[in-house]
Amino acid sequence: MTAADDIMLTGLGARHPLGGVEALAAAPSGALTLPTAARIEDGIPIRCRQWRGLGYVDRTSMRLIEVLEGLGGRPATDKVADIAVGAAFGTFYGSQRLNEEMLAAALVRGPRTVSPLDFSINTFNSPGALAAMRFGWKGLNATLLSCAGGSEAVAYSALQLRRYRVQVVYAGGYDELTDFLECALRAGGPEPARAYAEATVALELTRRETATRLGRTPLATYAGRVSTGASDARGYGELMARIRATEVWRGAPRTLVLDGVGGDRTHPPPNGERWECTTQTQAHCLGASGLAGIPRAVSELRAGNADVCLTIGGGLGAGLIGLLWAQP
Amino acid sequence: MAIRVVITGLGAVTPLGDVEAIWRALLGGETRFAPRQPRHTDPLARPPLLQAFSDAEWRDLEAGRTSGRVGILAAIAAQRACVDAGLSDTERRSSDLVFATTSVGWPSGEADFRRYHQRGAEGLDAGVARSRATAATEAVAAALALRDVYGTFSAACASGGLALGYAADLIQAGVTRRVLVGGADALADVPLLGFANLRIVSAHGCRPLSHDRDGMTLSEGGAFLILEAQDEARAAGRQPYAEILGAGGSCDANHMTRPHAPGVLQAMRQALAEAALAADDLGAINAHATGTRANDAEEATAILALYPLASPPVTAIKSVIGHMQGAAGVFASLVTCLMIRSGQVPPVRGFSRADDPRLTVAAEAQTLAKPFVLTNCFGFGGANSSIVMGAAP
Repeated sequence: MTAADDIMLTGLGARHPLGGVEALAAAPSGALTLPTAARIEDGIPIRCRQWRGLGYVDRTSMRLIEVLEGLGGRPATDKVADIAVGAAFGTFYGSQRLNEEMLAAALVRGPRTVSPLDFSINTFNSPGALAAMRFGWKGLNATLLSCAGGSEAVAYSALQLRRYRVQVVYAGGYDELTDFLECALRAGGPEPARAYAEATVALELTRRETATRLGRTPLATYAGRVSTGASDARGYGELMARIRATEVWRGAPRTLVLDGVGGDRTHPPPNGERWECTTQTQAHCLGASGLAGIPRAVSELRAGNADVCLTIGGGLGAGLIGLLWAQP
Repeated sequence: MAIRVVITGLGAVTPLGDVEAIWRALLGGETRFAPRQPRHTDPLARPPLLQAFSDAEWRDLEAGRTSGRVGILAAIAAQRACVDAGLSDTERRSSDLVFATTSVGWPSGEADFRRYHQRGAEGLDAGVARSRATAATEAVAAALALRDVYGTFSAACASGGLALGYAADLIQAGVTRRVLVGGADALADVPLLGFANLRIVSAHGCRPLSHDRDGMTLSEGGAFLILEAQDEARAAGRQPYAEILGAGGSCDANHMTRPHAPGVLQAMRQALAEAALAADDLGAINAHATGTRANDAEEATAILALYPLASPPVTAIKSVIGHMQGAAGVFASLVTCLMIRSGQVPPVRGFSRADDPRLTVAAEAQTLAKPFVLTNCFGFGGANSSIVMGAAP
């Protein structure tokens, strides 16, 4: 593999109760100011259903499409055929609000009131599919579940780029909170209750050679994935042991960990690395956990405050997944 | 040198039985489709045909397990695959997991939501954790003490094919040496009602690729494949069922529920290109073929774009095992392994005549003339996946 095959982060968009990319890039400090289940107030109605071009979209899909539009909604340019643009997103709850509403309708008003239109967009992959319809992306389109799903989607995308199945991938994570989900998380989660926030994070990823050809400015280099099956103190210990064994981490003088899972949990003592718990300002972002720390990672890399950053996502039974980001 | 990926173990749990029972049924055995109402809502005027576990069968499967319906199906199938491959405890514990599902959690989540709908938050208890989308993945990883999880794919009914392709990628990239890749799905009320209201459920039983087809028939179950680096399997003395030669994927970017031939064709071409095979090298195609008017017409158009004169034998399994939703691609790949090992192409149950005579549908069981088979699976959202497998070296 040559340097031309390096996987580059060339675009970043986000929506969070705190704001967009700039808000997420701010350093975590002090106490969490968000409510324990923070919703995004961006004017999209909770029960939104709209025709967006050819697509019938709900709130989750509409927000993802808007974030991608902000990112440029690219490409399908003359330089990259639409067939070579893929999408991979991670989510914990997907468009399951629709499942809730359809089941409630069936229980109250009978089976015929389950809307075929709603049913057609209730699958976990519908936001990614609707984005592909909106932008004409005809490459691989995958959705990965769990709170590690967004980070898994980035790792999956990198492998698809390296295999030349696609030239550009829009990857990321999204989730919205419903009243039922909030209650369910409090009632039966495998871990102690904590604060959760809706979030949508989207990344544009491509190989260095393609980035150059398209005239994109790289923001960071994707430098690998490490994971563990547990998200407790043992899981953190294993994750950091594996991270510290990687060449990119060992060779970096200044390293920064951005933990999007642990909050105030005990993590292993820092071993030379700087450690920030993004959950202290962002809360846990479910399927976008970990990814919500990437704006901060990019900010620190660009400012020259870190040589390599680790963003940690996961939790809620999904274990931990760390993504490594290096200077572009 | 490139790492070759082989399949060394198969496991399944379905209303028809295990892997052997599936193969017997495909070659002419009995099916178990029967009308069934949604359980917890007003009855439909015409209950759909389904292939489901009886209550007594389910009690046996569930005994001692608490992980929810999808998780139970997945864990049983995964355990059977490990036994089939003859994995030692050490080998199993050093294996990784890639999983696929679509209605995930909602067979359990629906019950939780009904309690919430009736009694509010007070109706929820610790068991609601089973509602989590990845509860099934966690159940398999925990039951088999697997090393790591590399993702739970949920691209509707294309999930299984994408999971299989990624599992092969991970081995070829040297990330891991062995992956358990599987899928499971169970029947829940919302999908039953949704498919019925979309009017794509068959009244008479699914007849894939047949000109008189009138829709799909849903089913439930779990299936797992053990994927290994070829040298790993050889060192352990395992005889592979088949080798994975190529994977292709695409998105139609066209319609949420109706497949689109150009996208399907793209996935098939990509898989063939990765396998370094020409279309004429294939001995058979194991089609997605749900039995809906739109799916089978678009898939046939894509196949005939590869074969303008006559296709190789095309088979389809959903009139025997039903549509396994997110697990469909894993079930189809499992059957492809059996086709390659046995050298047989199973017939398409219920087939009478194709829309286009150039599509050579396997109306009877026949010999697999060439040891390469392409397997398709597609899903809502225009997700397409194709996998090419060949006889193991």
